[in-house]
Amino acid sequence: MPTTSKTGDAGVRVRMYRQGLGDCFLISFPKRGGGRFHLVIDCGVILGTDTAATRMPQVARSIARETGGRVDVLVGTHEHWDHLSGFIQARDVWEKEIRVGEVWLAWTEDPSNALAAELDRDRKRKVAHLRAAAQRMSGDAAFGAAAEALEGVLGFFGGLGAAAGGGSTRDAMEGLAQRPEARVVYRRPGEPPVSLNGVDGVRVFVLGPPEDRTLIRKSDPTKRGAEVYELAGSMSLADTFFAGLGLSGDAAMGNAAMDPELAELAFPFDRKHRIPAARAARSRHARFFRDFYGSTDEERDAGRDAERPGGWRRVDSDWLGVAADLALALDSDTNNTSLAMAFELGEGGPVLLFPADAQVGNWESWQLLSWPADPAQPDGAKITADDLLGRTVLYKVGHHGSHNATLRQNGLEKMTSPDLVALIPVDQAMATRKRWKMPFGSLYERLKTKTRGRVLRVDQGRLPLEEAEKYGLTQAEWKEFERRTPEDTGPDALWIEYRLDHRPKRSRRPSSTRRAARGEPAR
Amino acid sequence: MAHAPSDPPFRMLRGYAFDPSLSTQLETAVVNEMAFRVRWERGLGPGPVGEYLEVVDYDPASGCFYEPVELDHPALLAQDGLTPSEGNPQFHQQMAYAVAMVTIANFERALGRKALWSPREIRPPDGAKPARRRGKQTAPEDQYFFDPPAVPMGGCTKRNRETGWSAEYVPRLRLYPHALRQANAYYSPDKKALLFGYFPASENEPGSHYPGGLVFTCLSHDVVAHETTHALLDGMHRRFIEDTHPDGLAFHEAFADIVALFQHFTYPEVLRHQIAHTRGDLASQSLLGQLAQQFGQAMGSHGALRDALGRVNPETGKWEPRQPDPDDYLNVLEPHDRGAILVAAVFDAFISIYKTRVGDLFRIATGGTGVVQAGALHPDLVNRLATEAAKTAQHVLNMCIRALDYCPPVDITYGDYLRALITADYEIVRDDDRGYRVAFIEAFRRRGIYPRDLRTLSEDTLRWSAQAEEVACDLEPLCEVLREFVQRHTYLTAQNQEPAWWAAMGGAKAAKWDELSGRERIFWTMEHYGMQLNLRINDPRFDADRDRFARLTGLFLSTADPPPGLRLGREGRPRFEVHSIRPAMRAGPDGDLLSEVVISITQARKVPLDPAAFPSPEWYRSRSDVDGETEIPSFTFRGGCTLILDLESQQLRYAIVKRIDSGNRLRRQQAYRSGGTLPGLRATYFGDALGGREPFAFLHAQHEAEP
Repeated sequence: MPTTSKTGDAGVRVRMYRQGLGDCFLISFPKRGGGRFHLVIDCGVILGTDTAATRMPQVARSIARETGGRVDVLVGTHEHWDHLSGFIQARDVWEKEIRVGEVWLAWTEDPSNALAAELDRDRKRKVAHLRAAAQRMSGDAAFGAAAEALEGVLGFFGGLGAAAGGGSTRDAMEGLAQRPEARVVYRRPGEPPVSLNGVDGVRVFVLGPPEDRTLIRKSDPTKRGAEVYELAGSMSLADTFFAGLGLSGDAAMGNAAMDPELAELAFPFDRKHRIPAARAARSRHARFFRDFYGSTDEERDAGRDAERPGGWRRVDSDWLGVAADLALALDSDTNNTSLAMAFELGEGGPVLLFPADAQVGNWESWQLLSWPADPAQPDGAKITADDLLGRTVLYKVGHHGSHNATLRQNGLEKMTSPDLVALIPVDQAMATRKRWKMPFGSLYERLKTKTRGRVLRVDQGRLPLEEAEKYGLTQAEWKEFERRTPEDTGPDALWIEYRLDHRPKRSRRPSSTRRAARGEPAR
Repeated sequence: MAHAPSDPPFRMLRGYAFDPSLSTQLETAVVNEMAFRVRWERGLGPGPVGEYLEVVDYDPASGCFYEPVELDHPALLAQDGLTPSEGNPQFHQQMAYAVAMVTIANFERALGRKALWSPREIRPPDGAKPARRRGKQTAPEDQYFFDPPAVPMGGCTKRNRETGWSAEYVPRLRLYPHALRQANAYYSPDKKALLFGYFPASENEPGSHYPGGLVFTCLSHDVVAHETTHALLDGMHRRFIEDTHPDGLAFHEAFADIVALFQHFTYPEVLRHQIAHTRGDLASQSLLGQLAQQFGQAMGSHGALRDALGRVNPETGKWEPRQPDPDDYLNVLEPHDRGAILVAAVFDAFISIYKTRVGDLFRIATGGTGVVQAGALHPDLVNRLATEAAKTAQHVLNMCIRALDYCPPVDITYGDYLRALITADYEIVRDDDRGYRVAFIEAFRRRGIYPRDLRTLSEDTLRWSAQAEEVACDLEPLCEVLREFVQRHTYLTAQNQEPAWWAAMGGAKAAKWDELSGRERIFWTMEHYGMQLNLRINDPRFDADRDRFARLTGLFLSTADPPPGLRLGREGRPRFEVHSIRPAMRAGPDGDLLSEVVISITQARKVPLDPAAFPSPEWYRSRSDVDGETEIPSFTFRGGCTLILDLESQQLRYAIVKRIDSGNRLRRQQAYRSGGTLPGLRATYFGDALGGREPFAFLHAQHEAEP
C-alpha cells in the first residue's frame, strides 16, 4: 500500500508502472479545491513479454482504482506496441471501468492532415512488406538470427494474429481515437501552452513531433527524401527489393500485386540473359552452375543447400539483409512521430519532460519553438526549449534508454537543474533477450552522473545507497529521495512513484522552492 | 606443328576506368574505356574461373543465373574481351574479374610472393568429442590429418584431432557480381566472397547517373578494387577485422581506398588525359586532388574519399583542398571519416613526392622559370608528367602494401602503420634521397597521426626497434626450422616432389602433392612449418631461452602465474598460435638481397567486458559466461607479435609487439567495446545477429544509413 508522506495531496505524483519493457505513466495533479487531475501517458509493454496478458489488466485496474475510474487526459504518444499494447491486452478494463475526458494524440494521427495520411500509408505498406521479408528470411538457417532481430523491430508494430492477442498498434491507436465518451485533441508543436482544467499553475508545452517533413524523417537511412516523392512508374530501392520478394514466389505481399511492367523493370537484365534457377540444370552451362553453386530450388527448399559441399558459399539470402535497414528506417520514423511534452509546474517553475521515444529529428526541432512568457505580450520575453530543458527536474528517458533517443548536446547536457531525476522504463533482462543495448552503457552512466544517482528503473527501482553515493548523493539526500519515491509493496510490485511539491503561484522565495525540490530537509 | 607458341604475358580485357556513368559525359568518355592488362592464366574456365578467382553470377533476388563468360573463346581473345556494356551480364563478369586480377597483381608485385586468401576455419560441431588417440603417446604430427577437397577444384582440409577445428584451404576468392539489390558491396569473410549489389539511382540526386536507372557496383573500378583489397588484407592479417580499436575497421576501409585510388594513378592513359586537360597550375594540389575526388564520386557507395581531400567551396564554386587539422585523429571516430584521415595523409605524401619529382621537368620546359605559359601543354611534357605521376603512384602503392608485413598481427593503429611504412621502406631503400619517408612523416604529423609512445618524431625513432641488446636470446633453434622452410618454399614451386611430412600427416590420402596447385602447396608448407616452429618453441631444447624469447615478443610462455584467462594447452602450457610465416626475399635498388622471415604469433585471453568485474577462476576456465549465479559477459583479448628474423645472422631484426599482459591495452579495449563511442542504430537492434557475420556489409551500409 502506498506510504503516505508529508508531500501528501498537495504535490504532484508521477507514477511509473512496472509492467516490463514499455511505457505507462500516471501523473496526477492536485486540483483547486481538492481532488486530483489524472493524466495517463501510454500503456504498453514490448511484444514477447510472457506476463503481458495478466500484467496489463492489473496495470489498467490499478489506474481505474487510483483515478476512481476517471482519467482526465489519456495520451497515446506514438504507434508502437510497447506504448499501446495495454489498450488491447486490457481492453475490457479500459472500456468498462475507465472513462476518459480527453484523448491527446500527435497531429501525425490526424486523418485529415495530408502529411500525416501520407506517412501512415507509407508505413502500412512497409510494415506489410517487411513482414514478408522476415518470413522469407526465417526459412533460411543462416538468417535465422537476423530474421528474429527483424521480427523484434517489427514487434514494435504489434505481432501477427495470436502473438499479439488479436490486434495491431493501428487497432490500438484507432481505439483511442474512437472512444465514444472522449474528446480527441490532436496536439501540434508550438501551440500555446495548454492548461489543465481545474489545476492551478500547470502548463503543458507541446514540443513534438515536428511538422517538418525533413525533420520528422531525420534518421531516414536512405538519405534521399524517401519514397513519397517518387515519380509514378519508377522504382525505388525499396521497390526493387520488394519486387524481388514477390518474384521469388512469396505470396505474402501486403498490398496489391506488383504491376507486371514494373516487375520486369526490377530485373537488372533483359529476359534473354536470364536463366531461371529452376531451368539451370537444363542449360548449356548446367555443369558449371552445379559445380560452383548447386542450383536447384528443390534442394534449397529441402534445406539441404547448406549441408551440400560448398554450400557455405551460397548467397541465397544475403540480399535480404537490406530489410534490416528498411525496418530501422521505419522504426525511427515512427519514433520520431512521438508526442513530446513538457509539464511546467508554476510559471518559471520546475518542468517534467516526457519526450516519449523521440529521436534526433524530433529533439532538434524543439530548438525552433518558442512561446511568449506572458501571453498578453506576444513580443515580450520568450520561453524556449532550452529554458524548459534547463528547468527540467524529471526526465522520462526516451526509448527505454537506447542511445539514439536522448539527444546529447541539445538535450541531456542542457538539463542543468541540480534536482534532476530520471525515470527509465526499461527491463534490461528483456532487452538483453532481444539483444538490445538498453539502457545504453554510456548514456546510463551519464544519467546517473547528472542525477547524482537519482534514477528510477522499471526493473530495479532506485539505486541502492552505496551505488548512489558513488555519484555524489549523501545519505540524507538518499533518504529524502527514498521518501519521495514510494513503491507498491504488495505482491504485484506494480508501480513506483516520484512525488514533487507543487506551488501553483510563482514563489517569492525561489531559493526555498529549489531547496525543497532538491529534497533537502527544510531548516 | 614444331612447337606451340609460348603463353602470352597478358590478356587484354576492356573495361571502364571509372564507372559507366563517366562514359556518358563528353569530357571523360574518351578515357573511361580502357583495356586492363591482366596476367595471362592458362586454361581460364568459363565464369571466369582461374587460379585466384571464380566469378559465379547468381542473382538471388531475380532468382536466376547469368551465363558465364568464356574469355578463352577465340572471338573474345581477338578483340580484348567483350565491349563495355551495362546491359550485358557477361561484360560485368569480365570487368569484375579484370579489376580484381589487377589488384592481386599489385599486391604480389609489392610483396614478392603469391597472394593467398584466408583459410576457412571450421568450428567442430557442437558436442563433438575430440578424437584423441588413447594409449600411445601421439607424435605431434599425428594431431592433424588431411581431408580431400569437398568440391571440384576445391582445397584440402586440415583437421586437428585434439580441438576438432579444421582449416580448409580456399583456392579462389568468389565474386558474385549481382548478389544484392542494394547500394552496397562487401567482402564476406565467412563466404570468402565478394558480393556486389545493384540499385536504382536516386531520383533526387542522381549525380551523373541516369535517374532511376540501375547502377551496378561491379562495374565501378574502385568498388571492385576496394573489395578485393579487403579480401587480400584479410588473407594476410586475419585479426584486423576484429573491431578492437577505433583505428581497426577504419584502417581496413582506408587501406582499401588507398589501393583503389593509387591503382587508378598507375594507368598512364587516364593521367595523361587529365594532365593535358587541366593545364595551368599542374603541380598544385588541386588538379590531382580533384582527380582523386572524381574517383571518390564514381565510387558510389564508398564515400571515404569524397571529402577526404577537399571539397568544392560553395561560395566560389571552386575546388579547394582540405586543410589538415592536427586534432582530426583525436576527434573523428566514425570508421569512414576516420578512414578518410589516413587516405588524405597518404595522398598528401604522394603529392609532395610528385612535386619534388616533376620540379625539374617544369624548369626545363619553361626555360628555368618554372612558370608555365598560357595555352596547351606540350604533349611531350604531358607524357613525361604522366609517367612521373604514374611511377610515383606505383611507388607509393608498393610502400603501402609492403608495410603490411611490418604491422602487428592484432589491434593495429594508424601510428603502428606509419611505423610499418617507414620501417618497410627503410629495409628496401636505405638511402632515402627522394625524401619519400620524410614526406610520409610530415603528412601524417599534419593530421595528428603519430605513435603516442615515442619521445621524438624522426625516421630513426619511428622505425620499429630491433632486438633489444640487453636480452640475448639464442634463436638458432627457431632459425633452423625457418631456414629449412625458406629453402623448401622457393624450392617447391620449381619441384613437384612430395615432401616427407605430407605423407606422414596423411596428406597423400587426401590429394597427390603434384596435383595440388602451386599456391596450395605454398599454403600447406607454411602451415607445416608454422607448426614446426610452434613445436620448437615448446621444445625442451629451447627451455633456457624461452623466457627471454617471451620478453622479446610480449607473449606469455611460462607455466607459472599466467595472466587471467590465458588459453592453456597441454600440461598447462600457454597456448599460442603461429599465425603465419612469410618469407621475405627482396632485392633492393642497390642490389642488396634480403633473406628474412616474417612471423606472426598470437595469443588469446578470455576477459570480462566490464573492467570492474572480478570473475572467479572457474569463469576464466569455462567456455560459458556464467559465473555461479550471475552472467559476466566476456570477449577475447588478443596479443601477439610480428617478428622479422634475419636467417643468416640469426638476429631478430624487428619485434613488433602487442603484449598479451598489457593492462593498458585491455582497459582501452574494454572501454571501446562497451560502447565509449556511439554505435550505429543497427548495433542497438541487430547486435551480432548480422554484424558478427558480415562486418563489412554493416560498415558499408551503416555509412549509407547515417545522416
